[in-house]
Amino acid sequence: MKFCKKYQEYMQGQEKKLPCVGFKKLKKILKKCRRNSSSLKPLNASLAAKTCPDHCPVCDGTFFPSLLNEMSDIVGCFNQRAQKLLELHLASGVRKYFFWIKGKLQGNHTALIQEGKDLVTYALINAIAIRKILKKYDKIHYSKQGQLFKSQVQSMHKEILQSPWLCELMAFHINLRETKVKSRKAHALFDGCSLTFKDGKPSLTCELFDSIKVDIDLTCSICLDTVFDPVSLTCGHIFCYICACSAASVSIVNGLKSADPKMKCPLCREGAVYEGAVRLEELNILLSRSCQEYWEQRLQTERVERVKQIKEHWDSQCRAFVGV
Amino acid sequence: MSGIARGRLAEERKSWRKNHPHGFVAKPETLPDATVNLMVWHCTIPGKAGTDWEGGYFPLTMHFSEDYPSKPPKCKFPQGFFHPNVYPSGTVCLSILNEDSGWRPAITVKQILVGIQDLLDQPNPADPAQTEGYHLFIQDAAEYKRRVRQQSKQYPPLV
Repeated sequence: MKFCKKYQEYMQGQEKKLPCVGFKKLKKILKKCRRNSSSLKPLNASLAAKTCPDHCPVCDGTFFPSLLNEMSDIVGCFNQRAQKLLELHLASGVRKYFFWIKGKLQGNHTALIQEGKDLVTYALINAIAIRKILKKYDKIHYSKQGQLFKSQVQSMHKEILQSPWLCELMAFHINLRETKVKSRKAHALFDGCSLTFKDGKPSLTCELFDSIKVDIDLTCSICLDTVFDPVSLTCGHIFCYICACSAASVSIVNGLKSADPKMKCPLCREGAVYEGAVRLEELNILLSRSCQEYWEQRLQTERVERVKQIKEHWDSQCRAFVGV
Repeated sequence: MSGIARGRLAEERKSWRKNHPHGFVAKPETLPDATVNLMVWHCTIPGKAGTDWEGGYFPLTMHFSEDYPSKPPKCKFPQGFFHPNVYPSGTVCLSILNEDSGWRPAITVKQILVGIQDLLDQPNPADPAQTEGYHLFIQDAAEYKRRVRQQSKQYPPLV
């Protein structure tokens, strides 16, 4: 079955109407472009029938803006739903009790797990759809405009595979895998997520019917160790919280929200990435279960560093108060 | 932030011992009381095969600050080292070692040393650090080559 058909079947099978890639509409734009260009060019030009110019007003004026809007909607919807779902799962105290009662009324625990699976599948299948349509654009235009667009979209944080919530959902899925859930038909698509260790270095992997493999490296590139108390910056790169604070030149007490917008990501050097950073709590739970010995050891060293920084912070506060 | 610096350097050491490029050496300094100082590393960079630098094993010292890896290490060849991008003091001038341009905390000791090895045979005339090396490189290629070969002989392998 062609991917286009498979994708449409999947999207139609969703109970709620979700934003998606307008495959047919975008293909029509490209077909129209192919027709226009072949009528404009001389017949003896070998590529004339197949292609249109590198910068094509027909495509660039409608294709990219249209795709960008769809991508924004998809990422927005995914992030919002994932955040809501994980909030439900990670709630504590009175909120947890409230959600539990609400859940009892709605018969909700298995639905929670199922929705997590659904969301990961939704993210991956849309990532494939976007990749396919951009490949088609480049094939028709004999250009690299599609790839260029993809990297521009990444810098705008509209790339779904960059979303910190995808990583959180994958961890959530592994954390709750023990619970047996009756799988709906749509999940023949989804091969599940796993935490793998290669040379002692962990990574989250996830596959979707051989088309795409997501591999998220869980080594902090600042301390070169497994991420501890992980945080994802808005550019999508993951670090230990304490390492991110160090890179942003802020103390743990003040936190990443107080980071100077000029501070850059330690990996991609993109600016203003700290304020919207997301604490990856599901991933934290997963890693603390999977690397218990390391976790205990790291907890000790982290505690020492935290105490030291808190002491320094209060010393400076006292000095400021006294006016020294 | 010294906890982070030392932890990172311990990981770097572990990673280096597990796997490092052939001919390179990188060891933390051993103090007279036999303790190891992770903040200073003594390294050796081999000249690349097939270049005028071949046969030379050039000593380099890396000085890490308490702010590492947020700030890059300072890398120094011996004083008076002949190369367009090495200051008379021996300090290496390389974009990835500059906090304001190419440095990223993700860059490892291994990448730094390989980067410096590449720099030896591919100087950057846009960023000169010493007059002599720069002028010879620009104006007298034959004399430049001769000086490089001569220097390579001055640093034979330590057996």
